[in-house]
Amino acid sequence: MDQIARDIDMEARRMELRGIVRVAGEVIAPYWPMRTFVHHNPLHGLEYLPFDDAVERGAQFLGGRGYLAGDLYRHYFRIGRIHLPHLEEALRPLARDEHVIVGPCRIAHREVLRACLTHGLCALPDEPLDALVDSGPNEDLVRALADYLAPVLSAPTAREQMAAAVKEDRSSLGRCVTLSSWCDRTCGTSIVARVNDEMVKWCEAFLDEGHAGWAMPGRERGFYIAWKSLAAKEWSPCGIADSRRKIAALPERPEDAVLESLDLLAISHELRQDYLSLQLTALPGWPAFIKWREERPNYVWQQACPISLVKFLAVRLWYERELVQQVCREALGIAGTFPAVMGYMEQRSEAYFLRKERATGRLPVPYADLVDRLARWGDGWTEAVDRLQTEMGPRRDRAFRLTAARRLLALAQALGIVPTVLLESAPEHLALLARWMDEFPESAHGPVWLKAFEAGYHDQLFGQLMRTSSLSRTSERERSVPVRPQSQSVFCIDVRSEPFRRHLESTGANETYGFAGFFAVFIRFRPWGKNHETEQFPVIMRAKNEVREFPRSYHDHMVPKHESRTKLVRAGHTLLHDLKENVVTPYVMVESLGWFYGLPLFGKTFFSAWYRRWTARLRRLFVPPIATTVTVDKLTPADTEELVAAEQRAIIWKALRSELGLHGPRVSPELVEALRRQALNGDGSLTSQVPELVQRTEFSSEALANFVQILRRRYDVNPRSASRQRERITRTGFTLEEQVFTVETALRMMGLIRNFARLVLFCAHGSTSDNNPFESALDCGACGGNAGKPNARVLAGMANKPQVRARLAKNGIEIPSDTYFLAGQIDTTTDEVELFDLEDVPLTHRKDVARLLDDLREAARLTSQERCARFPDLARPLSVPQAVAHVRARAADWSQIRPEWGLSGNAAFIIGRRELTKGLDLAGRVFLHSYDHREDPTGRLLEVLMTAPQIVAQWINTEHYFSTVDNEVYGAGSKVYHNVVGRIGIMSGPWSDLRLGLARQTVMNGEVPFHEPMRLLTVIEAPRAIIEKLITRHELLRHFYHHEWVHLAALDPSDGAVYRYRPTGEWSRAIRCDFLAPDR
Amino acid sequence: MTAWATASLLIVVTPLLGAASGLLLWGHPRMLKVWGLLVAAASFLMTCWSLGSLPVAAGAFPHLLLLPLTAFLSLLGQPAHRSNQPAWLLSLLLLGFGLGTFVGEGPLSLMCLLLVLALVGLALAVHHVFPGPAAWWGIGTLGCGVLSLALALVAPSPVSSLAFLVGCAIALPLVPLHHGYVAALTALPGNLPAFLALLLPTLGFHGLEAALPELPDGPAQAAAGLALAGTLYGSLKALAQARPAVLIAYGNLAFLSILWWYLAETRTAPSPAAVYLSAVGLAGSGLLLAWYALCARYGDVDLRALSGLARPMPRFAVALSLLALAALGLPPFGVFSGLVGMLLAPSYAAPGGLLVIVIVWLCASWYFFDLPHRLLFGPERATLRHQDLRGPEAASLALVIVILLMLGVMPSRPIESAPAPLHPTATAEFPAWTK
Repeated sequence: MDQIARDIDMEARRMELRGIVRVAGEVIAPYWPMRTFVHHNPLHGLEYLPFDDAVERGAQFLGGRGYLAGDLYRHYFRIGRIHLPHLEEALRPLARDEHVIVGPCRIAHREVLRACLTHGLCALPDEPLDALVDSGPNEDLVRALADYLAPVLSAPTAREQMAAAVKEDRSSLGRCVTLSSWCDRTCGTSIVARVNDEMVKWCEAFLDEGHAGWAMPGRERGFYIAWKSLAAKEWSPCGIADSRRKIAALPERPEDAVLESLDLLAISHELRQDYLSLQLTALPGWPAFIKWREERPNYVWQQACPISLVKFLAVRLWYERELVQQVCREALGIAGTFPAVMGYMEQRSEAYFLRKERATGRLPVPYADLVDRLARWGDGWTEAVDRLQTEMGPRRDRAFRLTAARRLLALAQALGIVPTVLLESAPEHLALLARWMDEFPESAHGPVWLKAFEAGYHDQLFGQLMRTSSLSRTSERERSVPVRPQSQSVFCIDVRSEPFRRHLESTGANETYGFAGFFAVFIRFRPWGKNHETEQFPVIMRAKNEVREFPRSYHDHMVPKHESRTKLVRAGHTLLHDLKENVVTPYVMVESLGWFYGLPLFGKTFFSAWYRRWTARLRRLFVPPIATTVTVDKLTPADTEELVAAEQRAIIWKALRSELGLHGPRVSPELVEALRRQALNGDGSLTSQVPELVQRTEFSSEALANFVQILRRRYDVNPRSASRQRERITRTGFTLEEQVFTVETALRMMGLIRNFARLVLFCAHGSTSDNNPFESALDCGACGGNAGKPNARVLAGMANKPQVRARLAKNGIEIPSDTYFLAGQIDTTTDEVELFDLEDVPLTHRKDVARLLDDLREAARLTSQERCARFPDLARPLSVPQAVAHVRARAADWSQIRPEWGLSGNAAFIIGRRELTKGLDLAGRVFLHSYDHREDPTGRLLEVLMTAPQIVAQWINTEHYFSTVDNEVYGAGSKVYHNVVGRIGIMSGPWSDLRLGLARQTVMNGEVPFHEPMRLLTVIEAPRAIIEKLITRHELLRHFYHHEWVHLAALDPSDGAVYRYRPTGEWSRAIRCDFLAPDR
Repeated sequence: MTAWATASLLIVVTPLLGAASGLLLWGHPRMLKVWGLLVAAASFLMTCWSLGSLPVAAGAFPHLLLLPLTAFLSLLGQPAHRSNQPAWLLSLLLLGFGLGTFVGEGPLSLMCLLLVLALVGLALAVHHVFPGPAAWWGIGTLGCGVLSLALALVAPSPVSSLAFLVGCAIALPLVPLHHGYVAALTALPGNLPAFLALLLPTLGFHGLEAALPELPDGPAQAAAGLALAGTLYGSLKALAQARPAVLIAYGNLAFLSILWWYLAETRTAPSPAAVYLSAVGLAGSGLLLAWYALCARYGDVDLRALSGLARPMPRFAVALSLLALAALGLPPFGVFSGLVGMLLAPSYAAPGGLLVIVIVWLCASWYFFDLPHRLLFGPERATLRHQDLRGPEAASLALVIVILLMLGVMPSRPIESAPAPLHPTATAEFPAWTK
């Protein structure tokens, strides 16, 4: 009974731990593998907190900055991107109604704060203790001022510093600091780095998805067990003594190992969640990917090599506990537990303080030597602290006052006061000024700057929108009979579509619409000739329909040739890869085949566009392209059965030829069918019918029975496989109801339900680049990081069906019979648009298509020219042909770090009619989703837009935001050092954490951000009451707007005014600032 | 008085008088610095002028020229601060006595060397606020050197010879008598470490050069063994250091131990050895000057408190990187060419030590690269006020790099040891092992 009770208790503890780990993991966002890069908010798990608080938590756990550095904001202020009125407005909540009299001047608290912001007064560095170099021309005045401040300003004494440090560190231990970090800070060790190195080693090996030439053994048993079996073979990892025995003695279950480690470190229950968060964020990249895997139990690699955050923590905590105990025992003479460390800080404060000062390099060298001696040989810590105060105290005081004097002098200059006036005012007043500045440190400036920065852009955008909103309402009244446009094109909401749409509209009577690039078509897509599917829908959704690509029937005769050539190419690639990755062959290969790589090397380097064109041409010559179609319709059960049978017959035909050498007239359809039935229904022995049919062959019954077994085993012609095939086919395609629903949803959501043009184009987007691990980041986020071509083809296919149109007509959407839906895709790196399935275009529409293609080409050329103007590496504006050539070369250039650079800059999301934004140059910064509030009186469609596309836009926006404000922590660092690891992501150099976020070159232009980091502004053209209702209904939206992750504004159709939604839940009318002109 | 005697006297007296008259400018750091620079320049020019008439071998010419030049360069980058005044005057004194060691006759030369060691020891004792074991060891070793040299002056052979060898081993550091050198480079203020990084080994080498031919096998083998141990010891100690000055001192110890080993093994001092010595000393000086430039800005801080200087201090970053390359012995700087020249010299026939040299080189490539790596890269410290090298600082470091480059590429023929000079040279009258 006791045993049972113990087991139950243990299981309860495990469950509790799994819960704690799940919550602890909130601070890290899951990381999608590189091949389907999905932009996401790195602090996604903290969106339930206000933005500023989440940023603080990010700093606490990840050490990341949540705002740009003050210098960059000041740069924006100097160049006019931030305006003084907005800054004043943002400062208002912080300013107090106080002032100080300095000489003849009256200085208000608000002025001091403003000067701190605009002149970086709080960013002035502390005065070094023993500096010998004079730092400026006003040195005499600084010294005089410092002397003048002597009666009222002094640095905290060593004991005061010590008490403050002990108090702060005791409160942060376990919450902000792990025991290993504490040891590192106190003893100067590098436990965290060593543990991180070990974890990188194990995670890299375990999470590899086919990149490594030699895979880690035992992965199928899970991370913890695989580590346990291999690490036990290592000799003293990280210098841990007797490691083999210790690892062998670890529990079999990872949960038990985590609990054991936490118990050994004596981490109390209330601290465990934070403590585990700290463990995860010490190396956030790999756990982020593990979290992603854990959330996808059906992921093929997760099924093959299971891993979880608990297993990760089990390993990590073992290293931590061993090393902490070792260091605490050897260096401090205490146990490596939480209470012992807390006790050490309290009871041996002097030793702790001096050791910490020594480890952080803050002690002058003679005192550092003294601390080293004391650490080795004995006591005397109290005397050492006293000595430090006696000998260093006056110097510290002096440095402290010099720092204050420099700041005061800078303040005087910022406020336009003669510096010598400072010496005429009371020292107490000067001290008060210094205190005001200290109370507003540089770290507190970020939120103020950000608000002012955002307000500037908001005013600019509102000004633009208000300019058109009144016009659009006027034209609406004037235009009673709508004019039929030449074409209507639907593009992704992506900010990169905005310039293209603008240019396409300018080329003729072309209307454009914006819609999430998956076009409401939730599919898993299997391209022809590929063995895997891509998930063509936003990652926050799920799909139940599958679409497959098949060759068109008129190309059937080319299929075998295409397949065989493709196989040859693949075999060649595999061979080369194996030769390169093998242990021995590279030595020979470099000598023998190395020269052949010269051609691609020179081609890609010096003639990239030309090289790409010619290699594509050669590839087409060798493997001729085949026209394909996609499976839109779901097959009936009879058709499904027929399709499965046809496939099985084809297999048997092939098998008879290859296994028995039977072909031609000797193989009758009856024989094939009989064998098929035998393989599917029989138990292996031949029925009486089959021998009759094979009498014309020379094979015995035994041989045929054997052949049937081969069919079942080797060729998968068996009931189980047939059932699988049937199931797969039933998932393929859409029923008529599903098609009607999909098309209707898409058209209604984008507001395209009347006045259809003769041609309607669904234009997806993809990209082309070379040597770019971030390639999929350029593709469609709404399509799960894939190109949206299949979605566009499927939707166009559905919308062209007469049955679908008939049902839509019943639902109120009359699509004229002469309207034809086309599918296309724009390449966002070259701006070229390709149209698909043109074979199906009716003859009557050929001319229309030709005209549309001309317009698309022209729009592409103009878009390329506009985009080239943004590339900083182009010194002068390019002509249109030059721009076209440039963007093509850029896409093919394998050394190009910014093949496109279109997504950076995103700042706003507008849900409304195109009339609102038509004719406005939004500089490629705005997501545009078409929506007509008049067609959605209940707000049902708006609800979908606010809870789906807006989330995608917010993820993209926050990913860019955080990657810009702290690229080292939230971004991926410089591309220069990137190495692809495990086919899942990138590392910096050969050994690092998995890098998350965007590369530095994506968001920065040198030292200045290319992407102006600001939170998303959503502008919705809809009645405020409906928006409010939706916000009340969705907690997610409340988090967005009340916690200031997203700014919301409504363009109320009732009066055409813009209203801001405040975090308090109130609306306030936006007032346009006329002094602001769009300058970007 | 003969021409060479007059020249010798002028060379020695100029810096000594300069130091004495500098006292008049005490309290005016800027003027005193300029005065110090003028004296060092005058000393350099005078040495150049009288080079032909001095009673020294051609192999000693580079050292004779480098001493005032190094004094000048070490003074050039100094901030005009009161706390540096004693160091400047002491530099001039040491320069005078250092040159005296070269140009003085027998006992006078010994006396000068003795005074150099005594002054350094005294400076250590006076400067240190509360000397740690390292400083005490340094003071003790230098005191031992002073006593040894005093003994060499008065005692008969072979005691005097042995005592002299000990004195030389303290100046040109040989484990376990290296503490004086290490302390001088790590614990003295101002420009003194940078100057002494060259001065002390040069003086030791000069004395040793004379004593080598008569060095008996026993002491020579012992010295070679100690030198080999010293190379490894110096390298390991340098690897373990967190403070740049100590790292540089031990790095130099390792490289100078190679020289000791070579001299003891071959009993010759070919011209590449002089180049090697000058380059090692000068590279150490340059690195110490670079580190001093940081100390002048941020105080004598720990290496852990600094990082990310490449962006705010680009000139410093370039200079430090080049000096580190030179110090670890990469071409085209003097350390490399000197070492290769030594190993290719006909007198060298003991490949046994090559393995040790390779180890030293590998270690140096770690710690001398690690120094700029840690200082220049990593997170930029926003709490520090960064200021790139000023003109004089940059000029002094640039000149050090240029000289190191010249040592690396110049032909060795002009400094090949000439046939025995006509005048009785100082080296000829050093204590002999047999009298």
